[in-house]
Amino acid sequence: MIFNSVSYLLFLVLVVCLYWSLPRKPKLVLLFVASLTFYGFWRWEYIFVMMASVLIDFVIAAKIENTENQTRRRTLLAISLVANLGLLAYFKYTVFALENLNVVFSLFGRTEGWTIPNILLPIGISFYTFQSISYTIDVYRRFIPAQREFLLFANYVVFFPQLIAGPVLRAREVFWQLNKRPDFVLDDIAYGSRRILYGLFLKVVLADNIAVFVDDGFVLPSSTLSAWDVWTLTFLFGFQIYFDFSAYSHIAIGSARLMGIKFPENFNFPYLAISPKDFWRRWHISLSSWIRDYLYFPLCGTKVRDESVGGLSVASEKNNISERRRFVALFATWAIMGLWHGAAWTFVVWGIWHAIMIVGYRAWASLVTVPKWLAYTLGWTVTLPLMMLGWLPFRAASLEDTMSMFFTLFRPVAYFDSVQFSAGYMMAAFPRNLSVDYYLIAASLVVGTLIVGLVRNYMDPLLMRMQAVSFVMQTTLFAIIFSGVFVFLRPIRQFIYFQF
Amino acid sequence: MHIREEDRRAERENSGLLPLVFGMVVALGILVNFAPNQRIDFEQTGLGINTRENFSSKNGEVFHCSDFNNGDQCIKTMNKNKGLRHVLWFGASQLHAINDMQPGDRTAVSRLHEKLLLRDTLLTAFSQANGNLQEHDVLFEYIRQKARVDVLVLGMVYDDMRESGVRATIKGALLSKKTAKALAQSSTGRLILQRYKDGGKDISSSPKKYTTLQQKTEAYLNERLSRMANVWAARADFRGQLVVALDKLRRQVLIARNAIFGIDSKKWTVRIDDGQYAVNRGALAAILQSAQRAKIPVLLYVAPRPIDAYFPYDLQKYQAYKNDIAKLGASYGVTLVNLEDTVKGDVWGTIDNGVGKIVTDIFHFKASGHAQMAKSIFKALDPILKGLPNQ
Repeated sequence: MIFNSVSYLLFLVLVVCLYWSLPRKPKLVLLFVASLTFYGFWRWEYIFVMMASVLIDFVIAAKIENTENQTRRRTLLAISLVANLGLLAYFKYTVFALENLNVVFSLFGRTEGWTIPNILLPIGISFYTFQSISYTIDVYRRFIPAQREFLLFANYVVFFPQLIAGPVLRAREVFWQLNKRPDFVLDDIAYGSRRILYGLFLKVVLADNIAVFVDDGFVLPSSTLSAWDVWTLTFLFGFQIYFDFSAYSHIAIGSARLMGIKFPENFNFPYLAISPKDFWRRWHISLSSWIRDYLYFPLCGTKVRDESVGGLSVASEKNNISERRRFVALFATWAIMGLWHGAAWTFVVWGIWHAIMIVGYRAWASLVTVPKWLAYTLGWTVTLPLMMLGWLPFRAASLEDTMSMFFTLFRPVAYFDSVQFSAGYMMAAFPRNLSVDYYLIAASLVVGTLIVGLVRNYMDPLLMRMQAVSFVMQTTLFAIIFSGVFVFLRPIRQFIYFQF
Repeated sequence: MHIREEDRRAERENSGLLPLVFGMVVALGILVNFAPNQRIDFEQTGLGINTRENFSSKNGEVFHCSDFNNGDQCIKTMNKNKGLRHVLWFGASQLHAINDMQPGDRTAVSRLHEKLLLRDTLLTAFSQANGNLQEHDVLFEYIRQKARVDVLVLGMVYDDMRESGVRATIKGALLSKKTAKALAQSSTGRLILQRYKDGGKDISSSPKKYTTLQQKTEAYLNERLSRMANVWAARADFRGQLVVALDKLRRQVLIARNAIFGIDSKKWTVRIDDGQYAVNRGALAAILQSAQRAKIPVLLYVAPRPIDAYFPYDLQKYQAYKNDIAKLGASYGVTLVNLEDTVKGDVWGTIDNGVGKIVTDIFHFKASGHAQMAKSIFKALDPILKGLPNQ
């Protein structure tokens, strides 16, 4: 079921009303049935794939906890990983693997390759398999006890607000909340409703309307685009994907909150980041911390311990890990993170780009010290375009288009036409091949980002002290947001992260 | 549970029900107050001053359609008249728009339809405001799967080379597997399929065309809500009004820019972007190739325009475009017929040029202009019809 639809809003109201009127066990049954219904609105037959993953990890985690034999524990964990990753590999990477094999065969002169099967990717599989894996690993690491109640565990994996596109939750964040029914607090309804409204606004008013320009622009032959066009399209897509994905998170967090369940934040204004490292602390926080804890640390060979209180992350002890190993682990992690997003080499390029940015930033930070105000302004000015540029391979139709557009940015003539300038044609001296609307919208979004940053840092603290003014401003804001959602609410475009 | 700073801030910023409730009440009040009681036809507003659209039918048989949603009516007419030769005419709003329309006025399509019936030939037309070649490609492949086409008539309007995408009311044709398979024969077709890979399942069509439970449910709920509350039914009007308002704002910005930089808005130029041109050219090649494979003769013509009115395009590029299209057509055995100067006299309408000046509408004309156009299309079509085998 898609969030930006009347069907979902009606479904949510019904589920929330029933949720608050039921005791614990029936409540868990309600959530389970509602989550399967939510998922089944897309395709009911793929519920079985999802339940297979749930059942495997429920059984294996219990068995891991029941044994002290380290070899047996490790074997059971391996079975869980193979099963979950195997499911993911089959549905997501079979076609990619066969296509690449065929390319290799053709290089050796073999004309007949593998037949490419038509495999439909079960929606949300990348998210729920990772979530389930994190539970099993945490049980193996003895950070949490195995869950013995199947319904509770199943709800952790399939809980509908976060089922399709996250946030990727840790078991410790959710089990206790599902287990104990929270007290009804009106503020949860306020919080949840606000978040849902924000999310719907970002999705149906902003993301879906920017998407029209992005789709038109990326269809154009890359050879006809100037450097300004490439930057503009990159920025437009960067904003589209941010609004789209953060919208999903807002709605997920809001929907859960209506039932008194608190999810952690998944975005923290990433386009206000002042470095690549800062960016990844603000973008898709649940996935980046998951990747760090369950992939990067193990690849580094870092021993981990759970440091936080009931917490969200594992902290590393001091380890003697060589720089070379860290370097390799970083690139491997990012390449895998890229592939997680999509079965195509363009996503791997995206991952490698971010690895390069982080390595570059680390080197810069170790060599150069600048005053704080300069770090903020220079940092933002440099980080924003670099992070936006990372979206190019994410969106371009092919690796060839990615490279073509990327190399356009390094051709001076793609920025400035001196012949036109000498002839007195000022506007034509800056080659542009898109309609003026593209540039206006991209520029407005960048200016809007700056304004949001300034408001959050300087106006918000002031407004907190002026309650009447704050009330009027909030009312006006909600009037605008609600009007936008009311007018634009239509499920014409699914969320971008559904394809992952 | 460990709480991070961003979680704490979110808690602070999102508490309080009253502003939310007040805001929603205010918004609903404004929307209900301003919701129009009758639906607004935004297609008409884009046609120019005092210009109206007119889609033809005769004796209950529809022969002039606009898109996938009503196209089945035209296809039904074609299949009811299998004994006649079928001429399929694609174009933009010039085919269905009449300036200063009076009772009894008819479009070129209607006139030509009548004339061709006397020659045992059924004319069917599909036209859309700012219709582009990508849309014509989709429609052509869709129609060909469902009905026989003996001759294709394709109007070339330079301005439409800058149009992009396939509108919601046409991309539903991509739901047809046969249409998708036919489109996939060309690179432009594959681009279109990739772009609209969800098959264009848009809620703007009738419920029976949807395949998933989500779409059926959503369509049902929207229909019910529209019947219950006028403000819900008026949402499309609000969206249209917002687009019109943004367009007016854009015009004011451009007028201000012209005033600041001393630009004479009578001499404004419309740009045809190379990229969009290339995509539409690819769609034209796809149509011509498909027609050639199916042995369907094509009448490719340059659309009429007022020769003595200001033409807001780079004239060198426009000539290069005509040469390019002629060469492309020739590579598929199709001759480009130039009908630019075939609608003469004081028959053209007027339009706001986008920067506050009223100028000659170089696309739409009066009923007498349609009569001239019908005559010139017939003259160009006649040799092709004579060359067809008898039915």
